[in-house]
Amino acid sequence: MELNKDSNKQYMEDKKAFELKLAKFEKGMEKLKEDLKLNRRQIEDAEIRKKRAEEDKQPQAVKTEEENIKKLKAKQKEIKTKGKKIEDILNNAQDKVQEHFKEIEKDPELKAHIDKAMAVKYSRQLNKIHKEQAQLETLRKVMEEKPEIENNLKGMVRANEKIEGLKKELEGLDEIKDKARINEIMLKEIPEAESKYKINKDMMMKRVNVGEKSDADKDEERTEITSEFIDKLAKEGFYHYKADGKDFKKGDINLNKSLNKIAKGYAKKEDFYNRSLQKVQGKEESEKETKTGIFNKVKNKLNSNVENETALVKVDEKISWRHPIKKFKAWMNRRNNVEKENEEESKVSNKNTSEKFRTAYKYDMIQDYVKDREDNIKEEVKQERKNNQERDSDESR
Amino acid sequence: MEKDIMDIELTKEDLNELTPEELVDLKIKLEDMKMDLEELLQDDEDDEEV
Repeated sequence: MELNKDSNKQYMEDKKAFELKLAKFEKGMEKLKEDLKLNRRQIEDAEIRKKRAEEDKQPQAVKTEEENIKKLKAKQKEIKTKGKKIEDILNNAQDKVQEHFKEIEKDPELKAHIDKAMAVKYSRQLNKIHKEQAQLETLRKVMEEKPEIENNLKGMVRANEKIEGLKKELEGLDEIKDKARINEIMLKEIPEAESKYKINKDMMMKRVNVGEKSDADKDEERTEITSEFIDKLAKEGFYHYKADGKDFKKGDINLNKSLNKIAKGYAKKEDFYNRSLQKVQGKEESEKETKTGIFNKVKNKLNSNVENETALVKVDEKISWRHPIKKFKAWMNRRNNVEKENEEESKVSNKNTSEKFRTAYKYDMIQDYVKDREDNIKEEVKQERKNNQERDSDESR
Repeated sequence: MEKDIMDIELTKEDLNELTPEELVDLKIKLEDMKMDLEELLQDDEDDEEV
């Protein structure tokens, strides 16, 4: 029992370490996203300042901004190089996961189980994307009817950009030397930006889900826009007008271009998950045919219990085999029952089926599999008894 | 950041610890992250072209 306890403890620790590793990776991705977003904004701002300086005929200011833009673009290249490295790591991780899948999918039962799980998860992903697509579509329609909503969204985006910029600034400040600036950011500027975000969000939420629809949309069922979706949307990277934009001087947010980009992102994911789902469902169909083979029939009849435990919770063995004696007895009972059933069944079943069954049972791999399983269980029972004896003798001392 | 990221590598042992459902979740999570990253890097390339 101690052995299993230690094993479980180790298993939980390893799993926790893996989760932390993955969380760290996700954090790294998020940071890259933020860095790129901020860098893009800084380039856009510098371009706007340069354009203003050109119009005001201030050559020195133009030169300063040109140098600034050059530096920012160099920084962007640096961030993108990191992005490429992350991409390599991701590719590598995907290859390993794929390799692992290939290995465990050698077991047809497990493969069917995985395909089924994948189909469910891909469907959920698609469902989530469809819901967000519908909300985005509704938002665009509502914005056409009520242009003031555009201003609320822009207000949220700007407030969010401000918060992100301030947080970035905080990272570079010294706790002692820059205490005054830190206090200003923490106690004044961030709360102000958060308040601006909230005011705009509250107004937007009130406006998007109520009010008159245009005549063309009277009969249409519109998807309700959720608070979570609005928050997610405002955190996306929004474009600001480029040098050729008519509102260039204001450096306004280009909502149309930004929302087109977001819609494109959804479409890309939708396409990917659709293809993945079709692939898995196709696999499932062909799997149904192969599952009628002799191998599966024999496995189902002879080792239904052992096989299920091994196949479906293979990686959880450390947890599931906590009581070897009970498990062994139960397994023996079930095995005896299965054998009895097989004997009875063989009497009544047609000749072809029983012939196939007997033939398959002669396969070495089936016999080896059963023998291995029995040996493992016996070994565990032996170990358990030994542990009990040791514990008893310790207690009697 | 680079050091933090470069420290991360999935091992066979990591994968052995996962249940089939967790493996599927991981596969989908990685696919999702890859798509986000591609889009992110692509955006920048697009910006440069303008």
